[in-house]
Amino acid sequence: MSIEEILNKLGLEFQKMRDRRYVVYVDKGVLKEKIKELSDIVNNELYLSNITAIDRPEDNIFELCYNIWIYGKGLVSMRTKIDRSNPVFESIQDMFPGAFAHELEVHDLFGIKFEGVDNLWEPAFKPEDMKGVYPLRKDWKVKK
Amino acid sequence: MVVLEVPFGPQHPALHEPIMFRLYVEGEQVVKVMPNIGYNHRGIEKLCEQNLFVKNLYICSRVCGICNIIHSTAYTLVVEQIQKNDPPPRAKYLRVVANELERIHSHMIILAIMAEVLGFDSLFMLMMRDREQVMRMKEMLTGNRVLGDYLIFGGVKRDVDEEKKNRILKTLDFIEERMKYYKKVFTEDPTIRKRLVDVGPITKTEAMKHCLVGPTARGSGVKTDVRKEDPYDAYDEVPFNLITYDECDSWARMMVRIDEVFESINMVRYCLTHLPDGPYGPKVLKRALPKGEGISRVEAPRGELIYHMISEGKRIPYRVKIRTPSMTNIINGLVAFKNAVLADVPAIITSFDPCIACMERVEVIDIRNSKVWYPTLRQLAGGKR
Repeated sequence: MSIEEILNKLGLEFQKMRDRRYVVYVDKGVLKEKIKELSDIVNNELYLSNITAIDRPEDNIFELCYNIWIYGKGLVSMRTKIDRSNPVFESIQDMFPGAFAHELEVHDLFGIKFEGVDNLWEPAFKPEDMKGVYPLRKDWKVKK
Repeated sequence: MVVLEVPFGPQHPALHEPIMFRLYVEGEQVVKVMPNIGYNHRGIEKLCEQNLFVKNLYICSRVCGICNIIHSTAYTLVVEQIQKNDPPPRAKYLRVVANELERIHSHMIILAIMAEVLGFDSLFMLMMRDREQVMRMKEMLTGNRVLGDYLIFGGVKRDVDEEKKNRILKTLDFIEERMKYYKKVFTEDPTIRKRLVDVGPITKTEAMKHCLVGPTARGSGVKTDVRKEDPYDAYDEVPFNLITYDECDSWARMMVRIDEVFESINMVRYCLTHLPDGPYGPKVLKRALPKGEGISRVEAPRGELIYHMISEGKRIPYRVKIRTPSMTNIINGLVAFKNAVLADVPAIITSFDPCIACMERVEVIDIRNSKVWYPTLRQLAGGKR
């Protein structure tokens, strides 16, 4: 089954970025469910390639981007928008234990909280005195 | 029994880079591991959001010293996706040559380090001596032993002539002979086998659930390789085999690397003998970065490397996300320490081919007044503070 057919089966609208790259915007309430359904359709033949956030201060949102590689088929970039003033989202570590490294990075550098897990700490990548400062947010400027 | 916390790193004879693991041990057995990271984070993603996209090429190739060409390949590919810029066929082949030479020396260095960790210092020195020949080949091709800076948007910077081609082919024969010997050592030596076989097992399901990539995943039987699944440059034209081992232990991960060196040698030979004619670089360097987005995936020596770039149509990118293979392999690969013996910990970590500089990506800390600041490339180049 091709990725187009899989995404149509899931009832998702997608944009094709180029060969083997698909972008899907989903509601934040259903993202986890859709990843689960996607995983079931392909018999778990996929892995979470990375999780990243894109800061959009003008719209007051964070775009969370889950890049999932389906073995031998292509990359599905599942995206959702969360409120920037209260950045909380559910963790997917119960589904992919490997999400830990990616959630830790997003939690540490963007300050997005992941609910349902207690293994994320701060500062992980940052120096110790940068607790509560989120350097990858657009409003954090480099001092010159 | 009492559980003791043993710190491993950030400065440790078996670790060549700064990372710390808190090992919780019960007697000799490891019951839990927690990573302590951040010693080497240089904020390259933020630096990329402040510099022109052309300059970022040079910043990105400095994410990692060993695999610098693969980082510039990934960055170049993502910019080329946004610019809709396709390099000429000759350039694509030359990029494969550069990347495969890098893979050979990267795999050789980790095999050598593994030999050192296991106590075989003479094997370490012999392998490092032979690796120097690969570095010379890289110097012949790119102009530099370590930092190549070989790629440019729409091609490569230097061409190869017949003389260089013949010398590279001749050196490859030498490397192949030596690698056959090292394969024999790693397969037959009883001490190496005792230290590696059945040490740090990761099952196939665990490897997939924990998002492991590259030789670490292939050592657990996962058939994944970006060059095969998602070919870039000339990888769809160059024949090679996907190497997997089903033993799922540290030995399998090292054997995947040895066999990949042979595949890489054949790929370099194929590329040099089938090198298409024509230009090798762009006629005019495109200096505009249109609005758009790109995700590039490449197979670094340690596994899948992703660059995700968003451009708003300015010459400075809006967001550059770099996900390096060591990031997932080291932090998520801790599952391999389950029930390991304390003495096996260095061997297991080395079998992941850790690259902490890659993982944590410049901030400058002025030790005179403890001031932390992030310089631009121009400041770094000018050497001014």
